[in-house]
Amino acid sequence: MIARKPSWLLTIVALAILFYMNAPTIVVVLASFSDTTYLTVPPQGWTLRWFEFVLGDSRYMRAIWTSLWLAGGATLLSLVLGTAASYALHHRLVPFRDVILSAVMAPLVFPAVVIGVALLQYVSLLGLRGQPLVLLFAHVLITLPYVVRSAMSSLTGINPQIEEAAHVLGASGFTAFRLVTLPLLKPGLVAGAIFSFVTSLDNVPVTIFLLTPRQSTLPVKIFASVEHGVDPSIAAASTLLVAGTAIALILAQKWVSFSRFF
Amino acid sequence: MTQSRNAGLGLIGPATVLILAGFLAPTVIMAMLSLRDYSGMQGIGTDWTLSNYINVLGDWFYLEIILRTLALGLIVTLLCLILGFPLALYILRVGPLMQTTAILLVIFPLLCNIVVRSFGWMVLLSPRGVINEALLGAGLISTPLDLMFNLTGVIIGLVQIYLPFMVLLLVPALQNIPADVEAAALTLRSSRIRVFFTITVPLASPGIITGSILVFVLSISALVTPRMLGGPTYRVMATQIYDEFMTNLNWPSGAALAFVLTFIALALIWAANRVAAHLTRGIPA
Amino acid sequence: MTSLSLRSLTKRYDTATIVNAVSFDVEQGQLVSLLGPSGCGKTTILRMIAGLLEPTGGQILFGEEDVTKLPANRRNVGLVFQSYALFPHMTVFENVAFGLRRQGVKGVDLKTRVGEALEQVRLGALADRFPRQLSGGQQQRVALARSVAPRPAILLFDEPLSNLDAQLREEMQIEIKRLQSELKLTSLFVTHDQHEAMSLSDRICLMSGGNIQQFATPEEVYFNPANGFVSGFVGSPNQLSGVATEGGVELAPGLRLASNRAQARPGGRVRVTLRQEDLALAPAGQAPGLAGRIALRIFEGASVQYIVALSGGPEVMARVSSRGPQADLPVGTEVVLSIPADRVFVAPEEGAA
Repeated sequence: MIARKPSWLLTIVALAILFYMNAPTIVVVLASFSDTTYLTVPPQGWTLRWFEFVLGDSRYMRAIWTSLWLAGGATLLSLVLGTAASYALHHRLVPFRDVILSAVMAPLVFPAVVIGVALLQYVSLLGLRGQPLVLLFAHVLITLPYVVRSAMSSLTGINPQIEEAAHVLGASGFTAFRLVTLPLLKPGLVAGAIFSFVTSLDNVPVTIFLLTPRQSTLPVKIFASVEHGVDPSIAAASTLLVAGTAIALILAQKWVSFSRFF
Repeated sequence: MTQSRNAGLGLIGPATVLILAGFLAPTVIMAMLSLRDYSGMQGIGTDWTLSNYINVLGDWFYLEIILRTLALGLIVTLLCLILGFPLALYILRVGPLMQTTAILLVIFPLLCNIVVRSFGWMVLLSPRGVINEALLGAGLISTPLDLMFNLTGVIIGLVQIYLPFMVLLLVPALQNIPADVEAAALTLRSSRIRVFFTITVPLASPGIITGSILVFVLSISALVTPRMLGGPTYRVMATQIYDEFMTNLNWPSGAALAFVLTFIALALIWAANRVAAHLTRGIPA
Repeated sequence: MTSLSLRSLTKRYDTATIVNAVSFDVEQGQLVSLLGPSGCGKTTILRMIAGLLEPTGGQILFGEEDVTKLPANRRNVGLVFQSYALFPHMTVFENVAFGLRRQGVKGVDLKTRVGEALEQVRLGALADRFPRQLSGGQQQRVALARSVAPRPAILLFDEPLSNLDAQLREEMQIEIKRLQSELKLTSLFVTHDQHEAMSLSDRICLMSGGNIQQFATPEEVYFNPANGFVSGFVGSPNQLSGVATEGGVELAPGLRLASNRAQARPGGRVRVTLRQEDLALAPAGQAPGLAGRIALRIFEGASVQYIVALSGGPEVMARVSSRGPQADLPVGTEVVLSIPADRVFVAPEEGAA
């Protein structure tokens, strides 16, 4: 592109679009501080009582914990499985490389709701509905592609001769990976992990089919609550999710430059 | 070499087992289920039949849902392109500080929960919501506008939710166009608008196609936003699949509908890849 | 330090033979260049010696020891890459220490030996820098220090100078030559640059199509090329076509050259290689030879290049000293070209053997 200053018209249009993109989040956060029993923006007097309510409510708290361990566990597992798989795929250590890669990436292109109902039916057939491990593996399935995509693109960016140099200098395969490849992969893996965590934390269309009525994650709980009418406690729970995301984003910026997203 | 092959299998094994047992097996079993007969009395039968697909593709009730979903996807994609282009241009042209801020403001909603964002739109769009209250207060309208539980609400929500993907794909597509090419066209006495449409847009077309397909596929697959902003009566494919499985308990029918959706999505992605590959023939990587 | 021997070393992929039963020896402390055009198999040989590629057949010996089956990390070779391949996340010190640490060297000993290696390439002051903070030449010197620090049995170079600009390349050449002879390192140097090979090597192994064309000293390769390929690769060649005759070749009707390096039956289509600097040029009438007219004169500094259109034949290039008697012939001058019979290489044209 030819470098050129944006015109004032372009600036106004762009800022309006940016406002539109962030309006719903701003509204939710503002509404959660409102001192009214109904939702209103701007808030009529400020209070933290809706946060107290959510954090004191055992169902909300259970949902929050479920969401957190699920997202944490799925991210960790996808990191381990995804890094190992990417390494083998990148170095062509296995036959049918392209088939395996497409299979690993498939959950990304399949409509989430389809994965959800397929798993619902499968898990019911096996009599495993509601098992925490089933939920965990389902989340690994949908977070794995993000880690693999990040790890594969990072591996492509590493000069293959660097690992060879380590071998020639006396490092075994695993030592070379640990001392040379892994440190160079770190930024990519961090980006992949953050995407995984947020994806798992956000997921409704797969999760909702796998929960028993007594189980919930925070987004599923919010989704279900809305059907019974809206009140500021939902906004407060939402604000907590937004805050979690914002923290992840700040951490991300500390670790990796945002240019990585391009 | 056998040693490295063993190592390779050890590395790829766990992920492959997970995909086989957790994704491929459920998909195959659902494919089989979609070919089973079903009646309200006996439930899922044991005979093989194509009737679920024939029902879904022949019944006006389902056909309307499918067509509505596709039309929705098309509108959302077009709006994302129309809104995404100026924003991407702005991001590329503005100074570094504002550029980072703008990128953050694009990424932040992307990472924010879809349920939360849809809920935010409910707060904004409902009959007693922020927008209607403001318009009523200003005396511009006398009765609240119907902004929710209809097509308008779903479109407003979906465009906001998938616009970040479009912008994040358009920015690098436009950025990678060598300035020399556009400069060359300008020196050849082309106007800026002409350069934009004859040089910039064609060179950015792989990014435009990728972004459009992504937004389209995500829009037709969306469950949460259409349910929250469309309400229980405004049906799209994903919400109908949800209802078949969770409310009507007509699993074979839901499975057939799910495969129709999957087929549309995968076919589009495949076709888009072919077109993008064709378009990038002359463009060096 | 030890010698290096290859015995019928072969590499095949499916049906393509990349390296065809190559055998040669590098004596202890010698530097041998593997010279040839890209795709001639030279890098493949180097990678097999380093243990990064498994040979299809043959043996690799370090001294008396057969290392053919040893993995790369147990061979104790040093390898300097074209891309430097420095570890970007480690300081210069840690890069050089990497191989030593794998050998179990630590503490004061480690510091001393890394320091020594860096002094040898005169980079002692930059130990705490990261690779990206160094220039290309400095990075390649770090790579050199990194590969000699663990005292390898064999030192391998994979086109280490081709990423550097002309001036740096010359400096690095001297650097490598100095270090190699000081440390008496048995070395194999892969390159496609004849000047690099000439100036660095004790022996040159000239390769083409997976086969050795000539293995000899630089002088021998230059003055007594084994065949037309060698003659053309070392020097600036004219590649012409012609028809073989008894005791020579005919470039065009009436244009005949005597050759005692002909490898073709009379009457067959042949490829003729004439080195530009082997052609003697004189004004018409002053000497016997092929008649022609100067079409273009290019002053190159130390030499002058003439493009000569032979009467009724092709154009050939001739190069003479710019201080010699024939340096100032203007365009259009009628000249005669001559060349000794032992510098006229004639080989059957490919596919017409």
